[in-house]
Amino acid sequence: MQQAILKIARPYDEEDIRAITSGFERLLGTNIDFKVIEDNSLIGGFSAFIDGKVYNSDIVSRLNEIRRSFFN
Amino acid sequence: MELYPIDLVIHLINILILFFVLKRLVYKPVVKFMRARSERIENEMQTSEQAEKKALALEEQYNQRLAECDDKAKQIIRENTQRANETAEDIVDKAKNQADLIIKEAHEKAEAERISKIEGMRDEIAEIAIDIAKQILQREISPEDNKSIINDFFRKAE
Repeated sequence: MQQAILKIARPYDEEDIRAITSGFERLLGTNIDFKVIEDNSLIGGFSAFIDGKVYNSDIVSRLNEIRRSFFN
Repeated sequence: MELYPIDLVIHLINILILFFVLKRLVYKPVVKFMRARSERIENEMQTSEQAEKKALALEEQYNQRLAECDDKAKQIIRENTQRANETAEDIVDKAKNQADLIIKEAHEKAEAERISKIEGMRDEIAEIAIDIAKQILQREISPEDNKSIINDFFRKAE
């Protein structure tokens, strides 16, 4: 069982957690036990920290990417 | 008055004596004097002629020297004037180049400032846009949005 952390912003429900967990299990091919942390600063979406890697799919990261694209 | 031959002879002798005396006492010195005088005059004439020639030669030389000096002076003035003109032109060129440089730098500086202002404004606009987006999204995000974010992520990941 792979320990991992999942940060997620409201509104979400158990079904979302299950979808994310099964998605990563399918992707990484291992069982994952997510420690779920609610982080509304993400505004939307989630970011997962698994085995030292970060999987960002939250609105704030996307906005930051947009901001960076403006400045260079 | 009666004129006796003896008187005549005496008279004649007197005259002769007188003649010789006068000749010795007066005539010779006078002639000598005259000759000396004319020689002196002659000499003086010659020396004055020579002096005059010399003076003329000197004057000639002097005039020539004067002319040479005049030419030299004119030449020096011409050279100096030309050099002065060249220097003046040089200075003007340098000043012009410097002015051009300053103007160019000023343009570049102004342009740089304009660009950094624009970039500054653009950054600000971007910042504001993103803040606005954040606020809107914070209000608008719905459960479905979250679900589609999750599905999109895994669809792209696979």
